[in-house]
Amino acid sequence: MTPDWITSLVRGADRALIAIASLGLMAMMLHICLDIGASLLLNAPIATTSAIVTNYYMIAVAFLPIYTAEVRNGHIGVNLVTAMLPPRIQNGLDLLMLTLTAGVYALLTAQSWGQAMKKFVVNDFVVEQTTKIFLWPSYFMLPVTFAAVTLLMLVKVALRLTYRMGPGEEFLPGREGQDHV
Amino acid sequence: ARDVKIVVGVPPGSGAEYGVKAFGEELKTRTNGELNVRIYPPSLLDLKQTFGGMRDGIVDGGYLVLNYFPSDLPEAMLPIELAMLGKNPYAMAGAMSEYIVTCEPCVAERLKNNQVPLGNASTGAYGILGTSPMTTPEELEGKKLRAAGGAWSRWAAAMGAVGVSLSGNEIFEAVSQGTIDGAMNAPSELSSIRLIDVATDVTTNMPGGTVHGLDVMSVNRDFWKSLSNEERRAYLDAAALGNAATTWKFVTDVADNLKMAKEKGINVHEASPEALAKSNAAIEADLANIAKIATETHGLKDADAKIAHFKDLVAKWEGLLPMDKEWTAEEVAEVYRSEIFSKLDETKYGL
Amino acid sequence: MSDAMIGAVGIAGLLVLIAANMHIGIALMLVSYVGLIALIGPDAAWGMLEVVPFSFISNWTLSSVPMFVFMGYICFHANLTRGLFDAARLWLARLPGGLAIASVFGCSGFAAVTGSSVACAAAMGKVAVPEMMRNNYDGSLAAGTVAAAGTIGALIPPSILLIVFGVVAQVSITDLFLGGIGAGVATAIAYIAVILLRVTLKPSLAPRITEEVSWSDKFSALKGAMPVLLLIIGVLGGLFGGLFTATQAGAVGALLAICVAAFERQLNWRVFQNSVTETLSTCGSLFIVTIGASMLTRFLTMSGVGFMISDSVAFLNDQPALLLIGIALIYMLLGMFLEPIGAMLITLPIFLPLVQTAGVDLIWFGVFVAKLLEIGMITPPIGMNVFVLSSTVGKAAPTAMVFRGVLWFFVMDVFLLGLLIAVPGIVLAIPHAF
Ligand code: NA
Ligand code: NA
Repeated sequence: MTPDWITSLVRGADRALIAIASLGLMAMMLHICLDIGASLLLNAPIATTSAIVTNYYMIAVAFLPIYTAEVRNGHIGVNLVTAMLPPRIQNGLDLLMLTLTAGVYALLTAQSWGQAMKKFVVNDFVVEQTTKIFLWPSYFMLPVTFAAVTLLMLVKVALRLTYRMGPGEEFLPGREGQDHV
Repeated sequence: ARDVKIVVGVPPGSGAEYGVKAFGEELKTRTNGELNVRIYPPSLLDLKQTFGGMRDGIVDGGYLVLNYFPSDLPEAMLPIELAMLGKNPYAMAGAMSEYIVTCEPCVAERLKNNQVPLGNASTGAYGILGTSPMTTPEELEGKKLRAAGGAWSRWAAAMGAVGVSLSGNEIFEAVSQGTIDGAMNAPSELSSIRLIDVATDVTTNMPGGTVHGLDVMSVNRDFWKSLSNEERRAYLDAAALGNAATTWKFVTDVADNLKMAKEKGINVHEASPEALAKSNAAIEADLANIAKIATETHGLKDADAKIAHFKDLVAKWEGLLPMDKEWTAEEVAEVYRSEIFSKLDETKYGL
Repeated sequence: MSDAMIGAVGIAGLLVLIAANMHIGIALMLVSYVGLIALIGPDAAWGMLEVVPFSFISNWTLSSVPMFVFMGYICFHANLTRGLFDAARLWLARLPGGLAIASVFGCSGFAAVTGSSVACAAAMGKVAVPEMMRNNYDGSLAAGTVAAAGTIGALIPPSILLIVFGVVAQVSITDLFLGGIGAGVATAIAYIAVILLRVTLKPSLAPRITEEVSWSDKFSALKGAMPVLLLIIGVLGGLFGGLFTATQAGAVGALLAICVAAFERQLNWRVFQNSVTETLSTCGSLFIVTIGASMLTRFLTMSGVGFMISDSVAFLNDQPALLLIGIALIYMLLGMFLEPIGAMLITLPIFLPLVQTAGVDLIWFGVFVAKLLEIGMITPPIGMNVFVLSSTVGKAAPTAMVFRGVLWFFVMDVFLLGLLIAVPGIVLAIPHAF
């Protein structure tokens, strides 16, 4: 069995990231609609819309839920070949892939942290029409998410190695008919 | 022989690609085939990724639009903000190139990003490409126009119009569906973003303004250091042609597109004298804004002196390369070479 | 090892990792990173990992993707989808295979509010397949129809595939959307013909429904379809009427869907929350694949493998039809295994210059590619639509059986592809009319 405190930590992080990403999704919808309304009714479009949508809302909506998908095993993979292997080999392979995946996420964490720090140091901004918009805070969403996912993968590896989490088991159930385009 | 990897992060057929190709041939000749330019498409790095890509050595050189990197290149923003001075693209490219390579903090901020600046190119002067005549102050009133940046959007506001930000691939759609009334762009964009299919009216001499922060020749600093003195000399001399050819292509495209537009029955106008007077007053009044933007937004010192210096350079270059003559890219390159690039010391510059 | 060799080894490594069930997005990044180290050294590879993810996602046109996904989920969770199917059912039930035909209609209607084919198949599968099973329809016909008809979801606008194509090829999303209508409608008509043919040949597949439906019931059922129709008119009308751009249309659609659901008294906190969470989960898993694919594109560009492939088919430049058949075969092969957006991002940089030189219209080509990739969604071994249907229906429709049901539609699709090449007007008539 997975220790309770780990489960609640994992779910807590999920809820927090989902909450921020949800705000991003709602804000994106409302901001764009307001921009259209202001342009049609007042002939005064909101000049900063695309800069804020692309540099803040999109980043929140695209990166933060990577954790959520990972908690629910919602990522796109192909288990057709492995399903034909004997269970022991399947488990071993699964563990190897989990470890490699953790490695990739760790790399992404380090890289995006470095980038965020660079942006922080130069106080990164864009000027959209006549407004100055600071961008550097947005860059920190990447290392935060990637670090959380790296930890999650390491926890999964540890739990599998100590037989406290069975193969294919996840912290949260995936949804049927997950939409993968 | 060795390959020089240069990425051009825009679709084929652009002025930048034309310039880099011309540069490649020139460099090959000048180095007897020792340096061989290989051009990479946008699928390697797009326009915004090229800055980091060149810094990190993914490529040796690449096409940058410096406007996109205000926080990394504050000094370069000052001449860029003076976009509305642009009437003569050859002069703007010359003035910008001379301004950057002779201004110590401008070179320093590039070196800090592991890049060496090697001059600039310019787009054609901006006009109005729209779906109704926009030549008088009355006709401009309340019109929604795509603005490529702050300078144009402040101009639009001063003229009683509304500046709208749109990415390049959205302009056509927005104009054709009537979401906006037109775009402030160089007339060369008529065919490159298919505005020629929807525009009915073009104003050629207003608002003016150029994007002269085009940078097709800059290189990665480690790459620059790895060249021999002779190779660097050849590179500088060829870079003069790269900048000239890019600008020449933009200028030629403007003329070709206006000709095509006339053949298609699009009305090609000049702005009315009242509109031009109002426009010139707005541009002059905006210089104060630019000093303020350079100081407050970009954190520069001595903005007024720098503005005056750049204005002088523009005037000097307008004298050197007047637009009433038909220039070839080679002729323009020769002027850039003698005025700018021959004065750079290949044993010291950028090392 | 030559650069092109490194590229080829990278592709082989990618296939191994995917076969070992590593998530596709991660596999793409890992291979690209290691490959770039081999090509240009560790520092530059590190730089690539830094410049790509943020700048790739921070894209205005791409921002319509989460919005359209959100709109679709709201429609589904607020039961707006069911009304659409019920109306089609009551009007068409008495035709041979009437319920199957109704589900094609349902998919086509839902296609106009969702951007993706799996979403379309999943949503309609939950509504239509149980209804068909209750009426003793053959399981493979029932599930196969919805799995195939789901692909219409990515043809009729909005379409995530067409948005991504527009981003890469730098062409108008609106024109692509208009072109998708023709291909989507042609597909729907062709699928209905398949159903009619199959049921006429073997009536036991779909027992005739004898239950009488009164005209008043039929007309009142139309009311149930009204909300979605209203939404379609609002979004597509505003888009083609010039009120907003294709990118903005997603946000308008999502807000409008919320309003319509609220007006229908179908909106509550649970519906809203489920829609938001599933939208985000979809975005999380979708965008990491697009980032990975975009990394691989850079690796392949650097290695020159892309140039090699394009050189090898470039001799067909003066034979556009042959070139397109060659490209179609490559996409159908890739579609057997790959996820469509990834497949598109990897291949377009290679194919776009070729078809442009051959004088092929890029709007037509975008719709053609979308159609090809959607065929991949129903072909074995990896057919996402089939998997989704199979898991939605459960034991009554194992994967093999759904693949069998889909086979007929696949044959029709191959015929349709030929038709699209022979008669480009099917795609281009509508964009040219505007
Ligand atoms: Na659709
Ligand atoms: Na497939």
